Amino acid sequence: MKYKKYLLFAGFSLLSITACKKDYLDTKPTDQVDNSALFTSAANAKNALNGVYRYMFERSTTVPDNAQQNKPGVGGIMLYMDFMGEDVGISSSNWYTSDGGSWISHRTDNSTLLTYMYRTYYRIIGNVNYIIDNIDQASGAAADKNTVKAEALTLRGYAYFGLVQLFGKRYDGAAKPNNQLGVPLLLASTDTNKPRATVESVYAAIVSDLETAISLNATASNKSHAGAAVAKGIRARVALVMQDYPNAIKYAKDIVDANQYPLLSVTDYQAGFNNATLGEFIWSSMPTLDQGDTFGSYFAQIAYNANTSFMRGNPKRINSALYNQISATDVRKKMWEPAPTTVNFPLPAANFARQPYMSRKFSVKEVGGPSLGDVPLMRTSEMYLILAEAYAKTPGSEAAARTVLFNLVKQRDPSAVISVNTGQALIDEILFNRRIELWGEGHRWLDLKRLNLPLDRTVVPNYVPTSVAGTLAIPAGDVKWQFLIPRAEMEANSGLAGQQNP
Amino acid sequence: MKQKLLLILMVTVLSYFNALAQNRTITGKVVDADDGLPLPGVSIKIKGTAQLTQTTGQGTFSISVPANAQSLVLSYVGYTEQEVRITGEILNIRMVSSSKNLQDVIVVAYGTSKKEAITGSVATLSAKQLDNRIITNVTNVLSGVAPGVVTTSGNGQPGSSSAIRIRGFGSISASNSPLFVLDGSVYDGELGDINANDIESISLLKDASSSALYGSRAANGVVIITTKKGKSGTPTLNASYSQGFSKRGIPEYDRVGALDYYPLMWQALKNSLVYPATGTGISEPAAATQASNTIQGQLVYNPFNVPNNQIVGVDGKLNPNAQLRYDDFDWFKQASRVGKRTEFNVNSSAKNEKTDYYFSMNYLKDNGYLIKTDFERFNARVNANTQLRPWLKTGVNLSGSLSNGNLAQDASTGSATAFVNVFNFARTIGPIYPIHAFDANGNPVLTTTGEQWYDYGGNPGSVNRPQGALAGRNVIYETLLNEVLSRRLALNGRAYAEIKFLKDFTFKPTFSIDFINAYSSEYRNPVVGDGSTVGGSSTKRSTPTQSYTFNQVLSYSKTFGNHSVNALAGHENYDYDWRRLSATKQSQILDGNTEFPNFVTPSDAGGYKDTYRVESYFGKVGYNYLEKYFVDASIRRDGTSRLSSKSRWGTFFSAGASWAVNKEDFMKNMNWISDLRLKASYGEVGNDNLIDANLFEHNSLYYNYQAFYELGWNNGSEPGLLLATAATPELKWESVNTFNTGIAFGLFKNRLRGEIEYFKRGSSNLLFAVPQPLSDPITSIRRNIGSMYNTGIDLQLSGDILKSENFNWNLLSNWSWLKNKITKMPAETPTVTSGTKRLEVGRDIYAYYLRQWAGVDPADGSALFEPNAGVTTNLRTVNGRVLTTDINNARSDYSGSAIPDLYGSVTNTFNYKNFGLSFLITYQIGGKFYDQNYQGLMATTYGSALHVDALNSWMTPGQVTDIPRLDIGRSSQFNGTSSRWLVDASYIAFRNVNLSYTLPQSWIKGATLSNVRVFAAGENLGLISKRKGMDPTESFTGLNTTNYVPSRMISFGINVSL
Repeated sequence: MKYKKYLLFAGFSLLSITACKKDYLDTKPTDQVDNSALFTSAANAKNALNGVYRYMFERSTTVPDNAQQNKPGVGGIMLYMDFMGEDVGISSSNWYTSDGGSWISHRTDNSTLLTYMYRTYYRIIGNVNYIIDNIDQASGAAADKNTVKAEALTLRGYAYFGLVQLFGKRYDGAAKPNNQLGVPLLLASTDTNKPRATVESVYAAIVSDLETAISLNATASNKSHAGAAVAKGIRARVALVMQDYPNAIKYAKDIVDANQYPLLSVTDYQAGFNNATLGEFIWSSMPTLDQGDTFGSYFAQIAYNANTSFMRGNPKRINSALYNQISATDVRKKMWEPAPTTVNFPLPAANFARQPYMSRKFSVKEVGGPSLGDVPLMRTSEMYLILAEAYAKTPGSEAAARTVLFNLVKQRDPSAVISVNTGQALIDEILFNRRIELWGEGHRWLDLKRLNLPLDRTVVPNYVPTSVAGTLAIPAGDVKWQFLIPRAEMEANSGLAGQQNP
Repeated sequence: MKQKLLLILMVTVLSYFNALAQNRTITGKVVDADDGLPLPGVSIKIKGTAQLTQTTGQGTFSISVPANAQSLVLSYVGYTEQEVRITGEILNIRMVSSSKNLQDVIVVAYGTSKKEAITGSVATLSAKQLDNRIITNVTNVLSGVAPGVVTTSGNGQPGSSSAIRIRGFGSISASNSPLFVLDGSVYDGELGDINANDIESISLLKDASSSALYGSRAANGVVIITTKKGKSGTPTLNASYSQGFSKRGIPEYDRVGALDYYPLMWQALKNSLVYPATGTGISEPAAATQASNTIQGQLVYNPFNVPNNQIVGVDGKLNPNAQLRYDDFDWFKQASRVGKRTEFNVNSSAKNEKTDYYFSMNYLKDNGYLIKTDFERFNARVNANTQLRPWLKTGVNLSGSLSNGNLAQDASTGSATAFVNVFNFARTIGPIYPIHAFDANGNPVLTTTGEQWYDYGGNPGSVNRPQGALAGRNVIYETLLNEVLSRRLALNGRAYAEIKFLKDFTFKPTFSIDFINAYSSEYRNPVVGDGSTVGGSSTKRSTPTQSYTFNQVLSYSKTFGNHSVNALAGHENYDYDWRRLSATKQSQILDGNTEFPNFVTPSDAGGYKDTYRVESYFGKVGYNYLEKYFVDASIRRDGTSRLSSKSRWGTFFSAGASWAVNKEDFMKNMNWISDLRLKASYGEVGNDNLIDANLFEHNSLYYNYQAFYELGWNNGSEPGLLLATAATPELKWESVNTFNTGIAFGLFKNRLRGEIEYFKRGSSNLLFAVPQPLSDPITSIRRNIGSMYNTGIDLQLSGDILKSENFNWNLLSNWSWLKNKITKMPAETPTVTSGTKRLEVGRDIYAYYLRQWAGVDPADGSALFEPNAGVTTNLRTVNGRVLTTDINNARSDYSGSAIPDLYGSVTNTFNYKNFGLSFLITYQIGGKFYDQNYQGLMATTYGSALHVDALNSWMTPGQVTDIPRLDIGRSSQFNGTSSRWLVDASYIAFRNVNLSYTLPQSWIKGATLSNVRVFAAGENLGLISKRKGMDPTESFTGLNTTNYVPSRMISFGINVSL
C-alpha cells in the first residue's frame, strides 16, 4: 500500500509544478505595437506621421462596413464638397448624391457622413497631437525632429481648417472677431471634452500652427509629405477664406514664384491627374499598388475608367452650362465629352454607361489594375487662382490679377489672350477658371460658402433633380451651410452641451 | 438474395441442431421498465454459452436452455445490459433505458452527478432524442429542447450554426454565447464538425451554480457535449443511411410582378413632379403626361410589346395592349434547385470488464437548395478506455473531420448588401429585368455556341440597367463563375489517466487538443462583377487554430453511514492560438485555374496571430444525508491573458442545496406524489469574451487592456503606424450572479412530471465601450460600468397522456418567461443609441428607439411623423394632430422591445406498436420585429423591386391609407427608419416531425439483425409569422437582413443494428 502514498505525493507535486510561469498570461498582439516604443527617436516618430498620411487615403473605418466604400479618407470629403455643389453630378440617386448632394445627411445628426468627416479630421489631430507633444524629447538630429514637428503642425492646421469650414459659420473678414462657434480645439494629446472654440480662435490656432511649420522650413521627403510648400499653400487657402488678401498674396506668390512645382503641360494635363511626380502636384496621397483599394479609393469613385459598379453606371458629369463656357482651344475642354460615343470616348468595357458631359479628367494609373491614382491634395494652379483672386480683391492690383490669371490660362489654352475684365467680371472670370480647373478636387462647396453665395442648381441644364431628392437651391446664409455636430459627439463630449448648430 | 436465403437456411438448420441438445424452454416478455412497452429485438444470450435469441415484435421470446444454465444476459441498443437469473420457465423482464440512466446520471462540470444531487439548473438531451432529428450542425437541435433555451433559425447554408441564448442576455458588448465543452474540455472547433450521431448526451448548464466550475467563461451558460462509448457486452454495429430533400423553408416576400411594376414606378415619378422637394410642382395632368413619356427612360428596360412611351397611360394604368415579350424574371427560381442531403453513418462499440471502445465513421453530403452551396464532411472517431490495473484507467477519444464546401455569400459571411449575395440581389431587382439577354424584339440573344447570354451589361447589345436594378451585375452568372470554397481539417483529441489511491481518492490528469486547419479560397472571375475590374482575383486564407487544455483533477468520494461526501480539486491551463495568413493576387492568366501562379499582380498579403491563455484553480465539495438533503459549493480562480496583471485574477463560486421531499416520512402516505424535490442555488461566474463589433470574423478582443499603435498603416513604401487603443489596465471581468430556485415533481407514478424554476441573473461590471468624444484621439475606451439583470421563469411539463400496451402519447411542453432590465449605464453616456435601439437604465437591452411614425396625410399622401419639440418647419395639422413630414425633425421614442413576453415549445410523441411519431413546435408570443427587408421593398428607387403593399399606397387626394405616396424624390424620407416598420414578432414554427417504423423481429430475425428502423423526418416544415417572408427567428435583436433563408427538409432513412 506504500506505493499509493508515493503516488499521492507525486500527484500533488504534479499539481504544483504545472502551475504556470508568471508570464504565461502576458500575451501580445502581432499586428500592433506598444505606444511607449514609438517616440523614442525621430525616425520612429516619422512612422507615426506616415500612419496619418496613410489614414488620409484609406477608406474610413469609423462608420459601419456598408457605408465605408465611398468614404476614402480626405479624398472622400473632397468628393462630397463637389457633389454638394452644382458642378459635379450623376444621373441617379446614389453615393454622394443621395446623402451629400441632397443636403440631407450633413443635417442629420446621426448620419454616417457626419461621423466620417468629423472623425476623419479629429483622428488626424489626435495622432499628430501625440507627435507634437513627444517629438521634442525624442532622440535624433534636430533637423529630423523639426521636419516631423513641422509636418505634424501642418497636418493639424489642415485638419482644423477642414473642420471649421464645415461645422462653423463662415468666416466673415468684416465682422472680426468671429465669435460664432467653431469646433472643439484640442491642442495637446491629453485634451478631452473640450467645448467649441470660436471660429476666430480656431483660425488663430490654424494660422499659428501653419506659421510655426513654415518657420521650421521642412523639406518633404516626397510629395505625400506636408513640407514647407504645403504649409504655405494651406496658409494661402486659409488667408483667402479669412478674406485676408495680403497674406493670401504673400503665401501663394511664394509658391508661384519659386516655381518648384511648375504648371502641367498640355500633354500632362491629359494624363489623368493620377501621378504626383508630375510637376504641378504640391501635395498628394501616393498609394502603392497594394494600397490601391479597388472599390474604395478616391479614384474608384471619380476616375472614368475605374471598373467599379459606381463608376460604370454613374459617369461623373460636369455642369453643362459651365462646360459650354470653356474655350474650344482650352485643354480643359477635353476633360469632358458633351456627346460621348464609342469612338470619341472609349471605355474599358461594354457595361460602362456613356452620358453627355461625362468626365475623363481623372483616370486610373492602370486600367485593369486596382483603381490606383495619386490623390491631388494641392496643385500649383490653385495657388495661381488664389493669387489672382486675392489681387483682384485688393484695390489697385487688378492688373497683377489679370497677369497671374493669364499665366495660368495660357498654359491651358495656347490661343488665350490676357483678360480685359475688371471688377466683379474679373473676379467671376477667376472663379470660372477655379471651377473648371479644380473640378472634382473638393473646392466648390467651400468656395460657395466662403463667398457667401447661394447654391443654385436650377441654372444647370443637365442637373438631375431626382438624384438629390429634388434639392435644387439653397439660399446663401441658410442654416444648412453649417454641418451639424455628430450626435455621437454631442452625447459623449460633456463640453458641448447646448452647442449644437441650429 | 441467394446469399440471404442461404444465411436464413443456415440459421434455421443450426437452431434445429441446437434444439436437439436442449432440454427446457424458457419463455417470457421483455418490456421497457419505464413505460411497460414491449421491446422487440432484444438479444438474449444464455450466460456462458454462445446461444442467442431475440424478442419478437411483441417483445416475447422463447429460448431452449441447457439444464445447467443459470442466467440470461439481455442486451439492447439504448438500454442497460442486464443479467437475469433463470427462476422459472416464464420470465417477465423489465429493461432500463440507458438514456433513462443518463437522465439520472448527468454530465456536469468536471464529472457526472445524479440528477437528484443537482442543486442548480441543468437540462439534458439524450442520444434517443437526437435520433429523431436530421442534424448537420448540433446547434440546430437545441431550439425548444428545454425552457430558457432559445436559438435563432440559423441559416440555410449547409453546415452553418444557430446562435444560442440561455436565459436571456448577459452582456451588452461581450459575447452572449454559451461556452461549449466537448468531452470534458472547452471546444474551440466548429460545431458543424461534430458528427451528431456520436453524441451520447448534451447537458445545458443554465445557472451559475451548475456552471461555476467553468469560472470566467461560464457567464452565458455552458453546453456540454459528451460522445458515445462502448456500453454493451455484446458487440454492436449500427449502420444508418438517410436521404433528404430540401427547399427554401420560408417563402419570399410578396413582391409585385412585371405588370404592376411599371404603373407603380409611374406613380413614383409622377408624384415627384407634382410634389417636388423644393419649389412648386407641375399640374397633375402635365405630370402624368411627362411620367408616361419618360418612365421607360428611368427604368430603361421595356419587356412589353408596346412603344416605350406607351407602356403606362396618363391614367396611370398599364397599356391594355401591353403583353410581355418574355418571362424570365424569377431570379430566385434560377438560383434554386432541389437540395439533397445524404448521410451514411456506421458505428460499432463494445465493452467488457476491462476495456470499452466505440468507433464511428460518417459521411455527409448536404447540397443546399441554392446553387453552388454545399457541405461535404467525413468524420471518424475512436473512443477507447481501458482499466489497465485496478488502480489505473486510461482512455483516449480521438476524432477527425474533414469538410469541404461551396459557400453562398450572404449577411452571415459579411456580404449583406453585396451584389454577389443572391438573397440581396434576387430580392431587390425589379421584376422587369430578365436573367438572360433578349434583343429589342424579345428574342433571346445567343452566343456562338447557341446558348443564351446572361444579361450582365457586357453581353452583345446590352443596355445598362438603372442603378436600383444593380447595373452591370448578374448574380446568377457571377455565382456560376465565381468560387467561394471553404475547407477544414479538424482534429480533436481527449486523453486521460485515472489513478485511484487510498481507497477514496482519484487523480485524473487530462490532456485535450483541438486543432483546426481552415482554408478558404475566394475567386472572382474576370468577366462580370468585382473581379472584372482587375481581370479576375483570387484570395486564399489559411487560419489554423490550435487550442489545448491540460487539467489535473483530484477527487474524493466517501460514504460514512448516512453521510456521503464528494470533493474535487484541480488545476487547469488553457492555451488558444489563432493565426491568419491571407493573400490576394489579381489579373488571371488562363481560365479554370484559381491558384496563384495563374495570376499576375500581387495585391495584398497579410496575417497575424492571437494568443489567449487562461490558468485556473478550482474545487468543489458536495455532501448529502440519506440522499435526502444535498448541499454543495464550488469555487474557481481564473487568470486570463485578456486582462492586465492588475486585474486578471478573478474568483468565482457557487453554493446550492436541494431537498428530496418525497423521501421524507411524512410523504409516505401521499402515494400520488412520486417525486418532489426543492432546490435553490446562488453563484457568480464571469465573462471576458469582449466582442469587437467592427470585426466581422474572429471578433474577440484579446489585448484590450494595452495601448497600441496599429501596424500596417504604411504610406506608400514608408512604414506607418496609427494610434489604435488606449490602455485600460483597470479593466476586469464582467460578473454574472445567478439565483435559481425550483421545484421538480412527479405525480401519479410519474405520469405527470414537471419542473418549475425561477431565476434572477444579474450582470454587473458590464464591459462597455464607453464612447469618448469623436474629437478625442481614441473614441471608445472599455470600462466595466453597466449592470443589467435577466429574470424569468422556466417551466417544463411533461405527461403520458395515454399509456397502454400498444399506444402511448407523451406531451412535453416548455414555457419561458423572461424579463431583461438595464440597471446601470456609464455616467458619461447614460444613453447609448445605435441603429434602431437605445440602451438606458430601466429599459431592456433590445428596446427600440425610433422616429415616431404617425401615418399618412390623406390630402397629399405624405408620410407623417410626430415632430420633435421646438420644431417649426415642415409642420402640418392632420386630424387635429400637429405632425411633421420631415423625418429628420421627427421625435424619437421607445417603441417596444425585441424580447418576447413568452417563448416555448411543445413536443408530442406517439407510439403505436412499432410506429413512432413525434413532432416539435416552437413558438414565441410578443416582442417586436423590425422588418428591414420589408422596409427595403417599400422604398422606391428606379429599378428596385416593390412589395405588393405598394399597390395600396396613396394615389388620390382624400384616400385614407397607411402607405404613403410613392415618390421617387421623397422615398428616403417617407421610408426612413421609423416605428412604421415594427411588426409583432409572435410566431409558431413547425420545427421537426419524425415518423418511424421498427420492423417486426419476425421479418429480420433471419438476417441476424437485432433492430431495423425506417423513418421519415421533416425539419423546418413551416413558420407562421405576421408577414409572409418574415422570419422572426432570424435574430435575437429583432432585425433581419439578407441571410440565406433557412431550408425545409424532408428525409427518409433506415437504421440497422447488428
